[in-house]
Amino acid sequence: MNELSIAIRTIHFISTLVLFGAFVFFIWIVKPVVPGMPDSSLTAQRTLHRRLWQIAAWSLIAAIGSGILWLATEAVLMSGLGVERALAQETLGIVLNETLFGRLWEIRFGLAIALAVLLVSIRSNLNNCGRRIPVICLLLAGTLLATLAWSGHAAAGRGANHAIHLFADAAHLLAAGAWFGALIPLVLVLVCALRIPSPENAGFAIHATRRFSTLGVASMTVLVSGGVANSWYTVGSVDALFVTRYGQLLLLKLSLFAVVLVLAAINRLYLAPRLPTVPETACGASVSPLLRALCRNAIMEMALGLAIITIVGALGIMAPASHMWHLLHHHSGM
Amino acid sequence: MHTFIPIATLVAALVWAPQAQAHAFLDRAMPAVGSTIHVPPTEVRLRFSEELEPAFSTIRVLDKNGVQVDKMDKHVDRADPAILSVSLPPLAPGTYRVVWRVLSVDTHVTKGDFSFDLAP
Repeated sequence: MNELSIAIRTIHFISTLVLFGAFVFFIWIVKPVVPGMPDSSLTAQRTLHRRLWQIAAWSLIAAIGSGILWLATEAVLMSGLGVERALAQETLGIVLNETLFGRLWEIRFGLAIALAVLLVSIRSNLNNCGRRIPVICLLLAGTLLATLAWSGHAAAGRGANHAIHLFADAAHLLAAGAWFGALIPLVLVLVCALRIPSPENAGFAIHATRRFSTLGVASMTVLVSGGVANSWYTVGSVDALFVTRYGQLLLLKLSLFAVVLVLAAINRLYLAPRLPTVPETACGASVSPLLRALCRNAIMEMALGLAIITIVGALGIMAPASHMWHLLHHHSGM
Repeated sequence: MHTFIPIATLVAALVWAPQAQAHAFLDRAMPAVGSTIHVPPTEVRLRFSEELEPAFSTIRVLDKNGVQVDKMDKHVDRADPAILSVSLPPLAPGTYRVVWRVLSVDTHVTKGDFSFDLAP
């Protein structure tokens, strides 16, 4: 059940992050850039819109599926009953209506269904869906992601710390979604520019890279700030960071994130400045080495991001380091 | 390399993360854990480190024969949801065991037990 819980949580985190990131990419990068692209890039634009819709649709399906499995595993764990009895209507009813987790999951399923309806409604008119529906989708996906904070350790806080911890956790999740979730469509754009090195594809890839870079700086800032705040509540001390398993796993997560920061810095400070200042004049072949390097780094960031999210899935089932540290000291009489 | 990193981390996380750990630790008990008291208590009151979900938090008091002797009216304190208690009828002298299982609001289960003695 331990391993199953970690796997389900990881899949749910990844799918909700990618879902949010797809809408962030569309609104922050595609919408501002596409109007300025030449008519000759219309086919590529339509393909990109379709790909983004598919990313959103499949990640929503994965989020709903993993959300149902998460609810089922929690029903078993909470009730202490066998699987059959835990998944019976009576027990599930208690979980959904009489626990914080259950009530939260009812709200989140509602958000997911609303998102599904909107996605279906724009499927046949992706290229002219305007801005209003994508913004609503962004808000719904963002709420779906941010409310995960109420399913974690932050939910158990008390007093003023409770609100601060929840806010920091929610901000941390949204920043992670804006960075990690938007990486996938960015990689698709870069790969397209490399496979079909036309000036239009190269120009769009350069625009997308620049706007993603700005998004990345903002996301990383919020990620780090939220992470520090979270660690304050879940770890509490430097000693707990090194002595407890939670702390050691968190250190591994921070180490991987440090590598992400290095890659992001290389992209922003070394590679991006070497891209043509006027992307529309970019010759596909001449910028290929730069785009290839950016693409490689983005894929590496995705791999590291997947690893980090897996660690988050494991941390979610563990007692926070601050609790274990308190227990160790309490039992040792210190 | 791109697939190795997430797979290696998944393995590390599964090996490193112990069994899902209890989050709501027993902070204080009344009667105290392992104590000997001389006045029959009217209730057993447990205070935990986190707020509890009443629906899946239980407490039972058993006599030396394993028979449940409490009034089966377990409840989580409305004013302080970290406190779980159960009322007791007048108890005869003897050793009693308190068995508890609680669910914290962040969805983690803790269970445990302790004894106390009621001396004449």
